[in-house]
Amino acid sequence: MKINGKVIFPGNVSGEVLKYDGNFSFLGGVDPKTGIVKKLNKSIKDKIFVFDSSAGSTVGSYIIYGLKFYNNAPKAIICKKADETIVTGSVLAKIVTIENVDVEIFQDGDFVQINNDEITLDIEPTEVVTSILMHDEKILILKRSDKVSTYKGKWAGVSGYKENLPPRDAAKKEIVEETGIEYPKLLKENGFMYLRDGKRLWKIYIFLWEIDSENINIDWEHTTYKWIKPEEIKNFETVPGLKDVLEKLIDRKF
Amino acid sequence: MFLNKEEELMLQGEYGSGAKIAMEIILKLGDYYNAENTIEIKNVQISGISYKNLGEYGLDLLKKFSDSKVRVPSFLNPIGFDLDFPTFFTDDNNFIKGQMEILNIFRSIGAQQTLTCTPYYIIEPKFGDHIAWAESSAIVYANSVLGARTNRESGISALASAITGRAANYGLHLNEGRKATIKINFDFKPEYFDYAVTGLYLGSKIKNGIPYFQGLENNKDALKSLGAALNSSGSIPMFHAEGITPEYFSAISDSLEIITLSRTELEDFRKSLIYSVDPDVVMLGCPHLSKEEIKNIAIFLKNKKIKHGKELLLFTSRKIKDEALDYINEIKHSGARVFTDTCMVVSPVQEKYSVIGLNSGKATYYVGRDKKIFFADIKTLLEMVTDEN
Repeated sequence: MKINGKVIFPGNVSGEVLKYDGNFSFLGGVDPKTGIVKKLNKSIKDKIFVFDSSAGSTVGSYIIYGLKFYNNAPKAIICKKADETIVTGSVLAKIVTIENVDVEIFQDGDFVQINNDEITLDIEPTEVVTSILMHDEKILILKRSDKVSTYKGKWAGVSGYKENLPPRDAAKKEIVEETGIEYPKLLKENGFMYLRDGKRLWKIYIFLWEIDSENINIDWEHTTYKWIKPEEIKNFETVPGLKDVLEKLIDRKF
Repeated sequence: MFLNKEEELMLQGEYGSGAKIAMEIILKLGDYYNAENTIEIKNVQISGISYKNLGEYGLDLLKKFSDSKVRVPSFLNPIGFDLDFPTFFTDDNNFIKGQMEILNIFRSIGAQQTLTCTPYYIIEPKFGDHIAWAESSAIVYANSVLGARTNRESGISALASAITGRAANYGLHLNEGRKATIKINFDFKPEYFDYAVTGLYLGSKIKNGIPYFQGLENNKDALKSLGAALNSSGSIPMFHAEGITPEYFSAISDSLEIITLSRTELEDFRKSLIYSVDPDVVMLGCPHLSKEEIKNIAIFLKNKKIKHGKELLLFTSRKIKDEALDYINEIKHSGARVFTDTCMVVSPVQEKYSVIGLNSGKATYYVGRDKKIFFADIKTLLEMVTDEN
């Protein structure tokens, strides 16, 4: 797939991803003399370094230059949110840098190619829809059966492949099939999010709906269901990312 | 960002390779912050020039600018030692050599060897002046006490402004970037030392933004220590002090969140930072001492001497030292030492001691990362290290 970002320092490079989860401070985060990223205990040298956002002292721009000086620089920096440290550091060290990128897409070892503002990753996303159904401040979770192709036995929202439908229609179709509810009321439609799970990359369109009864009819895809309070989600073994979907839809952290 | 003809030429390298990199940095920062254009700046304060911060690669980086000349008066932050007493601060000859090499590069590009974090005692910027300052404590002082305008520059972006004479026009250069984001008041009357504690506490609590204070006094030294602490534990480049900051009346809106600070809250916070109550050394002058502060210390030290086994180190600029020579002599008479060009944060001096007494919120933040500190008001500290003569 191709991903576009905002170029801070342009260039064309390719290489292997080193992923850092969360905010990264170059000052204290990496030793310029060895290139070792302390928390990961891995070298940043010649990697495509991917992290969430930049934090910490502006002295960090010297560290970026220091990596170059000791020949330990990454080939490129990809992040969600840069700051003046990254801007200044990448200009000084001439390191290809792109921000405003959905970094959830990447994981360690991915091979990526960068051509100016375009990042090419050798993997195609599978488009799916996930709906959270609400009734009386509770949410519906369903346990996936053995007959489905992925995440057997895990708790999930109402979900399925988008196929060629517009996302909202696909979500409605799945609700009818999996719960028998014909007229759910749409509360929130929140674009999409990416979820990386090993070799798979899901592009998930997410929806929040309200229904006027707790009574539903499940089909072969699930074995049972439960109505729970949103904060109880962490007690269940769910499909990956369900908590993030829920947090995004109801604007709360669990 | 729009560049004028001269800036385009700088970018193309017509003014040398140092000016080219400098203009690239200004342009990239401007684009990043959506600046429409650049502005002319009156002067520059360059930070991060101690060899302790720069090291071998920082020196290599500075050499890239050595074919340039500064276009506006450019001042330098403190370095890793007092030029008159280098060996008091370090016995590492490579450190001294590296530091002198850094200073030579700055001398060759035309920066003034002020070596202080208090450039406003050398040239006081006026209300509305656009400047590019990179010393965190001086940034807050310029914006908040003087009403001059500077963003929170880094050492490198300030150097880029020195060489180009320009800064990208965004953030605190613009009226809308200078509005208060939170209101702070006190349920007691803060005194001199409370300003440092407040700055350190609030910086770690709110992290970003521009606080609007009610109930502060127009004591410039206290405001200096408040700002220095705020911009250490937080990224807070400006505050408004009601009745003091030149533009305070246009800074607030009705919808601001209010925090009320109590004496117990601040005192609990101060105590949480203390690991020992028996300092072997007291260090004062972060930011560098003003003439008034030196005078007050001299008055306290009259007819006193430093206790056996204790030390008192003061840090100021050469300019203030020259202006306050009589007081300095009285201070030296007590056995205290007065240094210029450096301080407890940017020099390796802290390594010589086990517990360091400090009254500065900023120094507490930085020195406290590596050393045991005792954070208290100046009178308490001075009493701990002195005897009646």
